[in-house]
Amino acid sequence: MAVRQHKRLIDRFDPKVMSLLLSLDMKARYIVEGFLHGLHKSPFHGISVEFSEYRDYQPGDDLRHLDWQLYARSNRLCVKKYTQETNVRIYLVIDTSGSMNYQGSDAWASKLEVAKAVAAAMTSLALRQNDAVGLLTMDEMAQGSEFIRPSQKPSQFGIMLGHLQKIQPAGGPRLAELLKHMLRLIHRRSVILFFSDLLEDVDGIRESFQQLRFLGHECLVFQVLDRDELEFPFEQSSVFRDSETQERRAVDPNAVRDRYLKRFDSFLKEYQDLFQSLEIPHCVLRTNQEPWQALSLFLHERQRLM
Amino acid sequence: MSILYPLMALGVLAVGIPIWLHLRRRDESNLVEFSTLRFLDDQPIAKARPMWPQNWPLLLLRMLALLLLVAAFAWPYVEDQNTVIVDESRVYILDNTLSHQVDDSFQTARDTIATELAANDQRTQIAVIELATTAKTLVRFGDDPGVAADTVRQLAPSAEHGNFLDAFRSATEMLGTSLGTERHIILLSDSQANQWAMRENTTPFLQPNIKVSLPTSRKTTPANLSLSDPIARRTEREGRPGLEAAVTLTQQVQTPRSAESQPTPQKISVIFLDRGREVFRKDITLEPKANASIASGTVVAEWEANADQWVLGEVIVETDGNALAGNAGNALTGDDRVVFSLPPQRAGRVELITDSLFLRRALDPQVMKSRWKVQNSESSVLVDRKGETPPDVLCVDGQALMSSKVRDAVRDDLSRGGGVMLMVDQATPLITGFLRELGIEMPTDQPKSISPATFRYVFAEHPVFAPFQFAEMGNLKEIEFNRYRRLKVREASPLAFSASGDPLLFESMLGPGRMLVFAFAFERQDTNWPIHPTFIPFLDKCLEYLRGQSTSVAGYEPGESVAWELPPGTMAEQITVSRIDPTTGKTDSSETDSVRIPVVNLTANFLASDRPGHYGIQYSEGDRIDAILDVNPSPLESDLSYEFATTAVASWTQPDDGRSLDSDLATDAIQLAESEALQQPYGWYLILAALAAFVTESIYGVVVSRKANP
Repeated sequence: MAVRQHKRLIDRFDPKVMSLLLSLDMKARYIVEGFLHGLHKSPFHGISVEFSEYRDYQPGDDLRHLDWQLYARSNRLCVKKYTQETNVRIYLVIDTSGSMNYQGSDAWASKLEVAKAVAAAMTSLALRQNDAVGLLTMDEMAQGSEFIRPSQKPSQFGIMLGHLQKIQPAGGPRLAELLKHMLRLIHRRSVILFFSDLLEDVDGIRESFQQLRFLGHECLVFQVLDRDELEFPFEQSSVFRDSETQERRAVDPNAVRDRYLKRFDSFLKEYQDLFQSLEIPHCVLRTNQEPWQALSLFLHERQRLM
Repeated sequence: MSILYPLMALGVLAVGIPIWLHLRRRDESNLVEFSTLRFLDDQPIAKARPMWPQNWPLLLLRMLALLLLVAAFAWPYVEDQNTVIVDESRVYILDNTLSHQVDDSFQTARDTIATELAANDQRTQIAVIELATTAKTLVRFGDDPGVAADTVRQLAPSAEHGNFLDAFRSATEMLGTSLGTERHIILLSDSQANQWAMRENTTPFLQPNIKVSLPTSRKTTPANLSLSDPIARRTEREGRPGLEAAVTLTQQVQTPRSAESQPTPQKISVIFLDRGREVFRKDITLEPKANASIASGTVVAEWEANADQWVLGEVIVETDGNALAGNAGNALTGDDRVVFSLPPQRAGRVELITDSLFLRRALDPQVMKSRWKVQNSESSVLVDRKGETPPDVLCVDGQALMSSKVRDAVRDDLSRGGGVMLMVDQATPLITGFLRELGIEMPTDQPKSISPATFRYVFAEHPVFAPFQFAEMGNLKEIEFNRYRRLKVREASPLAFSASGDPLLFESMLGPGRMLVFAFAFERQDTNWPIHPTFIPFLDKCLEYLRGQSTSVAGYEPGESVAWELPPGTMAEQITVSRIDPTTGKTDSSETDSVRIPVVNLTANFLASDRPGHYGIQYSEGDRIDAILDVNPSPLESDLSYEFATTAVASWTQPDDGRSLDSDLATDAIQLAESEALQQPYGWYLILAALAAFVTESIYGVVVSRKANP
């Protein structure tokens, strides 16, 4: 059943459509609507409200909230009152290093664009659940961090979209710096969603993740990678230039492919071990595939936290 | 031209462009922007930029193409013995109108151009425009000089009239594509004053850099005699058919008169010829006019003429031997002869089925003798037409339409191309239904009485009304209508309206025949027209029109555009227009003036011949002449007054846009380069070779690219 549903989800996702959608808002809607359409059960049902008290019925009150059992028992017309459930504070942290600008031949967008679209979709989902959503990123051009305080107002979606659209990839590795910055800014227990390709040394960020976990934050890591990085499908001998360091190397892909894949897998393994040890859910988000796996993980973790 | 020339040096330096492009593009094509090289750090570091060409054929093709282009654009500056540079483009406007034949000016101008063309000066481009009724291009830039000289030399003088505006426009257009650095229009003309007409309200078109040379002034205006405006009509005197003709004789005297030439009387003879036979001669002594430079008078002649054949009239003026002395003279002989013609007189047949006494009286044999033969019929006993020639015109009133025989006769006559004249004098259902057939509605609510009405709007150009534009034919405005039927047009065209806007006369367009429908009867209770002087002339014009004769005007000027309308029912697909020998009255198809003209919608469009004379129009093969055109010179050509210091050229010249001398020189330099480049065949070959090299390079590039990335 799960397999069948998964196939349907894949059928509904069209990378060509995604690449044609220019606005981030449209991309987010496409992802969210496609995702929600595939679920038979609403992910919001029963998690956002909680019964609080009774009050006497006033003409004009919604009859759906009338407690008929109480009326049958006590002949009193009372209306149930509910209280909003305590919400979660969610931070979206997006890596904007130069390597996030990479887009393979069959990707529907660059890694950063995929991260932005999924982040926007998660913002939309979270705001529907009355969660407070905020943003943290490092902007090379602005020479500093971009921080949006979490809020659950409906207008927050537009604010988030506006900032997400402005993000441009540039510069070298900055995830370690971003994590340190985060540790200074976030004090209350929160859910932190990381969007990065994690093309940095594990040792440089290990300590920061450990501190986040120590402070009680729940972290989810979405590692955005391109098929070219995962499979290295190049054929022709070419000059490869590092998008972060501008370093140039003459590469014969056929000769180095195996060695590259071996080193890349070992690199991924290091991160997986780290996140496993810290109990941080980790999801690889491929730029040529549908992003619903990430959303599913997000909702699953969200439900677990509640 | 050497390598030290700055532009040449720059051109050679441009060869470096493909080398740079080649190296740069090679670098870019093999570069992969990758996210990180941390897993490829064991690979060798690439050179910053490859400094050696990888694909030699591609590079050489590009360099070759660029070198060819540089050579192509530099070629005009490489002067050798074979290079010919055009210094001047010259357009001659040769005036071939009648007036230019004074003192053989046309022949002199023609020979001047022919000699210059024959000289074959390579540095001067020459084109020739013949100015006649229209401006015709005689010689184009680039025509073979020998052939062009022969063409000009063989040009015959014409009797046409034209103005200079068209010729100057054509010359400017030709100079727009000329190669010479200097552009020149030379007018070889007598500069007749009336040829400079149309100078007003003309948008300036002459570019300021075009030099215009006008003819030099004449000292005197020559004396001249001319004939014009011949008219003729058939008459009958004492039972014998005759002909009355008139012509205008104009005398122009020499101005200014020289002191020694005293004004003397001039004896001339005006001779009228019919089919080459002299029928009338009038000797006139022209007294010198002290004050007037131009005087004119009318000479009238009358003679007996055969009513059964075409009149081929001709009027000539002869001067005595001493005519050229003093103020007298005849500088232009081409305007001393005019021609006129009249068709044979054939009485038309009218069948009259009406009770109108006025119509019967107007068409009485005593009134319409030799013009119309009238047959009065009764509607109830309509003559059976089987085996008889139907009438040319059927004239019926509403009462007669009550008979089915009359209605059938109307339909038959219209369908065979005959004419019908219909007076609607009553409104009955039968007449209403029949009129509806003819495209005319008659509302049932006809007014019982109307206030007296007159003609208000008349289709004055229609053949039945056109003669009444002249006062001597009478005033149609004096006619009053006390009663008429209100008719509405569906498929007919109204020709006259009353003051209240009601149409009074229609022409029905159904069938090949012609039909005039009157909204009234020719009775005193309806109108006073039957007792008005215009009644019989109008009736005659109506019958002539309905009879189906061609309504085209027969008099034209040489070279004038003719739209000849054939009579309704004519089946001809083409007509033949041939010059007529006036002595025999037959066409001469061997003449070069004989042409066949296609007929479209009963109209043949052609240009009248440039030679004055009689021209026969034949609708079918054979000797029968169906119509005759009279081609006479324009009277304007006889007006030998000249204008030399003309302001027309100034008004046609575009204003200078205020460019400085430097910019003019720069423009001239660019024009020089453009013109010279356009004259270099090798330059064009080099450009073509460069394009071929580029195409080869592109194809080769695509092949290489496909091999690299299959």
